[in-house]
Amino acid sequence: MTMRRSFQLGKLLGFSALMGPLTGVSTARAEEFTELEGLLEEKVVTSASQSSQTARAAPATSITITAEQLQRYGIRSIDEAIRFLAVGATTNETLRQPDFGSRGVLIHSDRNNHVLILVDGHTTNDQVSGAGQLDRAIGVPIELVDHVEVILGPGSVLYGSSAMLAVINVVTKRAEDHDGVWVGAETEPFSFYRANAGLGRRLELFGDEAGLTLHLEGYRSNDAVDLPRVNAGLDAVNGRPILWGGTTEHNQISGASAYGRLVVGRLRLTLRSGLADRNNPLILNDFDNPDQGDRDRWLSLDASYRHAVSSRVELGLRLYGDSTDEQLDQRSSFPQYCLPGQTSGCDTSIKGRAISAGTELQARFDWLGDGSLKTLLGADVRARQIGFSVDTVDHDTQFNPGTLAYYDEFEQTLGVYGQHEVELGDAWSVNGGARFDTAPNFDPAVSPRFAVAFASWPGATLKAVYSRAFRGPNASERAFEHPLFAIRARDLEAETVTSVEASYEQRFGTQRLLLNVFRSEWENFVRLSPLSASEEAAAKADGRLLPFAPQAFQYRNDAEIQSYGLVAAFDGSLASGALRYGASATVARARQKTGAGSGADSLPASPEAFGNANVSYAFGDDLPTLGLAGHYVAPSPVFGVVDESYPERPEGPSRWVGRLTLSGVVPVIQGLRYRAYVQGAVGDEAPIAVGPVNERTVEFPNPNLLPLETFRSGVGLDYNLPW
Amino acid sequence: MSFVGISRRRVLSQGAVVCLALCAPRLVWAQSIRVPVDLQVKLLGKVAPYDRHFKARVADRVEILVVRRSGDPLSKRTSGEMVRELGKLDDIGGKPLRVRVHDYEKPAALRSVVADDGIAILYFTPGFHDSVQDIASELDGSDVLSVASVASDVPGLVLGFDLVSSKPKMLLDLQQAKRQNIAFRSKVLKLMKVYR
Repeated sequence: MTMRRSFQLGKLLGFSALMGPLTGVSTARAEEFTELEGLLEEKVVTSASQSSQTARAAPATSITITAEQLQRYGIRSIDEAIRFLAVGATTNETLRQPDFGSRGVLIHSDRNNHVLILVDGHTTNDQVSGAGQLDRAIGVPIELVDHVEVILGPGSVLYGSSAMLAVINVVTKRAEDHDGVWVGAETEPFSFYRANAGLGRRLELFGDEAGLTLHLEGYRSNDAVDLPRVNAGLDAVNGRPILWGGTTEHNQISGASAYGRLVVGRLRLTLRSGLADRNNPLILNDFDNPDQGDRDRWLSLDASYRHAVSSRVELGLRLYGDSTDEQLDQRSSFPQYCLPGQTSGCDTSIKGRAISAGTELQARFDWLGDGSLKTLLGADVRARQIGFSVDTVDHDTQFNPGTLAYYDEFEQTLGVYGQHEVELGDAWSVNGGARFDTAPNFDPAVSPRFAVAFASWPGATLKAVYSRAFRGPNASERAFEHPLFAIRARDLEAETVTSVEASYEQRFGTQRLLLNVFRSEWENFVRLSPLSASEEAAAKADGRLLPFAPQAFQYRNDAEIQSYGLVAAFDGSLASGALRYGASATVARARQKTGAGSGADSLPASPEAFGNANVSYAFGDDLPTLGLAGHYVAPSPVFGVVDESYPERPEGPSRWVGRLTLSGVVPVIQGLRYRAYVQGAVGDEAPIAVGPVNERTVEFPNPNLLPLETFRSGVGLDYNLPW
Repeated sequence: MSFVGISRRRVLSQGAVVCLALCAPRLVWAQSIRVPVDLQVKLLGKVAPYDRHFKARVADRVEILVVRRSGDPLSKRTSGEMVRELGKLDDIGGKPLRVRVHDYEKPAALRSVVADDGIAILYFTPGFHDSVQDIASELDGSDVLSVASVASDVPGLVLGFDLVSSKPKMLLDLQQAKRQNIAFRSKVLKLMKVYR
C-alpha cells in the first residue's frame, strides 16, 4: 500500500515536472505538424523551366489552379478559372472568345495571340492568326483538367512566339487519376447544355505499365441578348435605313471535342480534335443574321519520348503536328458595306488554314549528378503551310469578283534555346537562359531570361526576374487587305516585351502571402492603324482602296505599351484542408503610345485594377462542399468608339460577380456527383461598344455597350463507374 | 485557296522518325519522379518522427541508406540529388542524420545492411519497380522505414510520394508498415493515401 502510494506520488511529481516542458513540446509538435501540412500545400509546376519544381523555386511568378478548386467553385471553363482563381491575370466577359489580360495589359482585339496557351505542353494557338482559345473551344473538358499553370510575364525563352503576357498550360489528368468510365451532363436551363463521356485506364502494354485516357465533349448554348434598336442612317447606295439591334435569336455557340492519350513508359502520345461554331449576331453589318459567325476546326498530334543516356545526360524527342481550319462569315444587306455592283448585299468570308509539323529535341545535362548544376539545350524546327484569303461575293448571285486578300506560303521556323540552373548553397538558385528564333517573315528574335531566387528565412522566398519575349507577325496581319477597309501591311517586324519583376513570398504553415511588383515595356506593337490623308489618297490612286472607301487602315508596328504595378495575394487552408480561402488584387498602370508626337493613353477594355476572392468548406465525406467565389473588374475605357467625339473618354462600368456553388456526392448512388451554382453580378455591361454607331451623336450621346448577364444558375451531374 | 503539299521526301523522313520512336524494341521500364526530390526530402524529414517507433529505432543518429540500382542512369542521378538534399537537413526528429549510398544487388544483402548498420530509413531511387515485392518480402519483420521516390512503388515500399493536381501526396502501405514495425500516428494518416 505504501509502495503503491509512493508510486502514485512519484507519477504526480513526475507529471508536474514534465508539465512545463510538455507544453513546449506540444507547441513544437503542433508547429511541426503545421509545417508538414504546409509542405503538402506546396504547388509543383513544370511549365516555367520545363522541369518539375516547386512554384517558389520557379524562375517566374507561377500560379496553379487545381482540379479541387475547379470543383469547389463550380468552374466550367479555363477562362472562368483564371477570372475567379488566378493571381495577376484575368479574362474579360464577352459574348464570344474571352480575352486574357495580365498585370494591366489586356488587348481586346488580339484574339489572345499575346498569350501562349498549351494543353499538356502542346501549343494550341492557331498558326494563321495566333488566336488562342480559353473557353470551351480549347477542347479539354473541365472534368479532365488536373491543374492549370499560369506563368506570368514573358516566356519566350523556352516557348518562342506569343508568350508575351503569360504562358498558360492546361495539364490533364493521368489515367490513374481519371480511372474508370465517366459520363456527365450539365445545364443552365433553356440556354446551355453540355454532355461529356470518357474513360481512364491503367494497362500493361508491351510489358510496360501504360495509361489510356479518352474523353469526348459536346455543348450548345443560345442566350437571348437585348440591345437597343439603332437607326444608323440611310445606306449610301440604295437609301434604305440601316437598322440594327433588338433581341437576338441566333446567339448560338456549339462545339465538340475529343481527347485521347496513351502513355507507355516514357513514351507519350496525345491526339486532340475539335470544332467550335459560333454564330455572331452582333457583327456590324446585319444584326442577328444566323449565317454570320466563325467556325474553327482543329486536329493535333503530339508524341514525346525521353531517354536517360547516362546519369548526367537525358535526351528528349517530341514530334508534333497540327491542322487548323477557321472561317469567319459576315453578311451585309447594305450595299454600302459591299463592293461596287453588289446592290443586293454581300457575303464576306475570311478563311484561314494551316498544316504544320515539327520536331523538338532536348538534351538535359546534370553536370554534378546531384541536381545542383543543370543545363537544358533544345531545338524546335517547324514546317507549315499557311493559307489565308478574303472574299466578298454578291449575296444573290454569289458572284465573286476576285479574291481580295490571298496568302499561301510554305514556312519553316527554327528556335534554339538553352537554360542553365545553378543552386548555390541552401538558399540561392539562379536560372539564366535565352532562345533564338528565326522565321522567313521577320528578323531573328532573341529572348533572354534571368532569374534569381533567395530563400531568405524560413518560409520566405525573394525572387527577381528579367525576361524578354516576342511575337512574330502572323499571316492574317501580314496578308489582310480589303478595298473598303484596309491595305496590306509592309515589312512587319516582331513585337517584343521586356519585363522586370520582383516578388516576395512567405509561407506560414498552410498560409501563403505573395507580393509582386513589375514593370514591362512593349515595343513594335502591331495594331490596325488609320492611314493618313495622303496615304489614303495614294492607296485610292493606285487601286488598293476603292475611291469611296470611308476610312482605311493598315497593320503597322507603330505603338508602344508601358505598364507597371503591384500584385498581392493571400491563400490558405485550415481544418486539415476542409476550409480553404484565397484573395488577390492587381493594381497596374498601362499606357499605350502611338506615334512619336502622340500622348500615352490607357488601353481600351483593359482593367487596371482587378481581383478575386474565394472561400469554401467541405463538410465531410458524404456531405456537400460549399464554395463562394467572386471577382471584381474596375472600370476601363470603352473599346470600339471614336474617343475624340466624346467630351470625355467613355468608360465602361465596374463589375462585381459572385458565385455560390454546392457540390458533393449523391448519397446511396456510389460514383454519382453533383454540383449546382447560382451567380449574381453588379454591373451589367462590358467596356466594349457594339452596333454601327461608334461616335457621339445627339441621338446617341453615350456608346452602346455590350450587355452582360447579371444572373445565371446551373446544375451538373457526373457519374463514375469502375472499369 | 490552294495548298502546296508537303514534299513526299519530307513526309517520309518525318514518318521514319515517328516509326523509330514508336516501333523501337521494348521500351525500358521508366519510372519518373513526380514530386521534386527537395520536396520529398523535406516531407520525409517532417513525417518520419510521427512514427511511434522512430525514437526507439534511432539511437544517436538517423541512419539513412539511399538505395540505387546499378546501371540505371536515372537511379544514379537521383541518388546524387537525394544525398545532396538530405545533406541540407539539420536533423530528423531532433536527431542528426548520416546518409550513405547502397548499390542494390539482392534483397537479402539489403536486409543484412539494414540489420548490421542500424539503418532507420531506406530511401529508394526510381528503377525498383520489378523488385519491389521481393524487397518488401525480405524486409518483413525488419525495423526500418522504406521510402519510395516514385508513386508506383507503393504498395510494396511503406511510404511514397505522388503528385495529385500539382500538390504532393504521401502514400502509405499500411500492411507493409506493420510488417516493418512502422506505426504512424493517426493525425498523420489523415494526410496520407493509405493502402490497407
